[in-house]
Amino acid sequence: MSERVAVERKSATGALRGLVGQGRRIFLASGILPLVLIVAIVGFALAEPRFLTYQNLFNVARASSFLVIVSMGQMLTLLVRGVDMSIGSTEALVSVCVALVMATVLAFDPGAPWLAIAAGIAAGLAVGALVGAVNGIGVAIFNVSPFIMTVGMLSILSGVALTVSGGMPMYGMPKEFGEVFAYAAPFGIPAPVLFAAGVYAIIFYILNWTPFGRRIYAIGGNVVASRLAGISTRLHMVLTYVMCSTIVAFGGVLLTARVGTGEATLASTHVLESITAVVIAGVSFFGGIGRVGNVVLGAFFVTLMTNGMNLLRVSSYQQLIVLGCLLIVAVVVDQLRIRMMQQVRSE
Amino acid sequence: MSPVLTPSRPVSAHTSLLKASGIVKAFGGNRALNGVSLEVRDNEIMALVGDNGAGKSTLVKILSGAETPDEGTIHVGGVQAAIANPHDAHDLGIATLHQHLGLVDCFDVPQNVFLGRELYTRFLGVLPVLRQAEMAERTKFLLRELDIRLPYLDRPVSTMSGGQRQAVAISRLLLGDIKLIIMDEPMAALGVHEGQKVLELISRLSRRGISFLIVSHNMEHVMSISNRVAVLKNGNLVGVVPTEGTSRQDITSMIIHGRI
Repeated sequence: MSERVAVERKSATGALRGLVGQGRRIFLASGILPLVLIVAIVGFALAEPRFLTYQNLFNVARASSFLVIVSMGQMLTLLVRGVDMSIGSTEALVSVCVALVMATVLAFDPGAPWLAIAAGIAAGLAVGALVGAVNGIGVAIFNVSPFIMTVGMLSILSGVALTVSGGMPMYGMPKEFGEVFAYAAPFGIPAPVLFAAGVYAIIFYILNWTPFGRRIYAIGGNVVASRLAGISTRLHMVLTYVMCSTIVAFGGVLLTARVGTGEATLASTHVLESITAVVIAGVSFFGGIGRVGNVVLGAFFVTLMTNGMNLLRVSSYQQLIVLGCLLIVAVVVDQLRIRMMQQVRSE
Repeated sequence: MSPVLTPSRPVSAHTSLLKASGIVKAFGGNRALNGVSLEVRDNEIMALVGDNGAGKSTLVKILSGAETPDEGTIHVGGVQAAIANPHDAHDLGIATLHQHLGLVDCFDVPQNVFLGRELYTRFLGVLPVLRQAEMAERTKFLLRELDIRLPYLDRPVSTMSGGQRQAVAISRLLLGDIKLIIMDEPMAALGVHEGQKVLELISRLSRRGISFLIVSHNMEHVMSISNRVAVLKNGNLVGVVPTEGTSRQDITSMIIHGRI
């Protein structure tokens, strides 16, 4: 008898509970991203009609592709309980190197722009891989905390970039570089968006379908258990940092194509923006949790915020305040979410 | 077969599964193990007891490959074995369940079971692709084999109870061809009911021919589950006694006074 009463009571509140449970499940899986994305889109659309135009969203998509790419790199370091504070200066150094190599090769043989482009991109990616190796070895082998290691590298890399460039923009890249890598739009889709999609496909495959990706999550989730399971955790961590910086370097190459010169001060806002994008997308600072699809949306969201605030004529100074607040809120929510995940057990 | 000294027993002939002889291990000037010899037989549950600092953990670490002994030999199945790391031990059919279980909290059950030994194919002969469905299927099969019931397999193990997590950790060990499971304080963090479930699982697995070497402080568990009890004190083996016919007081006395 009492059982039946309990069952009836359950079904009465069932609908509400189902709704709450659904929201909770989305929150546990994706963090606050779905909520803030909807709020931002609706809010900006109400405040500024131009925001929801096809042309504007198209621009946002194109402008966001650089941040999307570097955020996917940043995500990898967070998955192994790290962080990369040096991505902005990595992009800057890559930009300077790409410009230097392209200009040098082109000066030797002005009739071979594609040789110059290939050499420049190869050099840029190699610089990225090297930066990642140094970061990874510092973190995984010498046990330097990821924050300290990459802040140190931030200073070193931007110092090198400024030294090499003398603090001036570097010219002399073949014009085909910008035409193809930044301004081409096959089938009406901007090249940077296509490149971002390509990087997304690769990262998605690696993280979700390969043993290597599975182990990146495992190391972030429990490094001791991973080691006991026979995973060479240090090697995997170094490789993760190499992947991160190589992806970031690719972002730097594309950004260099877009601005048309080698810039030692390129992408200085990318560190803050990428961490905000990644954390808001539900990638945990505690490692092991996060989906690359959400990171793409997170980076899109951060660009959207900037774009919307520009349309609303919020000054760039005040935008910094908003971005900082967003980051802190995202981290607070991350901790709340982790605590909720653990609470599910005790229920 | 190699010359393994099987002590003459009135009961039926036992085969030696793992035999450690004269194990010495020192940390600095501290001799944690003083020439300990211990034999675990086929299909038995042996409890390893002793006071804090008696050398239980060190012995277990040596047998599981986490530490290497300074002196002494280890035979597995009558053949001398070199156990330099946990991988070697695993290849010899020895798996260790650590106190902290070695689970990745944010992974679901199949992901944990196959941690570090993921199944994959090579797409076009090059690109590795995880065989997720097969891993899930084999996990289900493994759990059914072991008669372990979990409410769901596709949720993070952080959402499971202590006993369920323990069951996942144990089943993880049994993925390979394992003959001996070493457990360090398996029931320490569990409630009474949960602990009972794990004890049941251990005796069920034992009936399927898996041996256990269990370090425990809980005399009640020791008495209820083990076939024999080995007592260590100050790095020496005090003795090995059959659980049947030995009282709890006898064993406590061995732990404290160091003699039978």
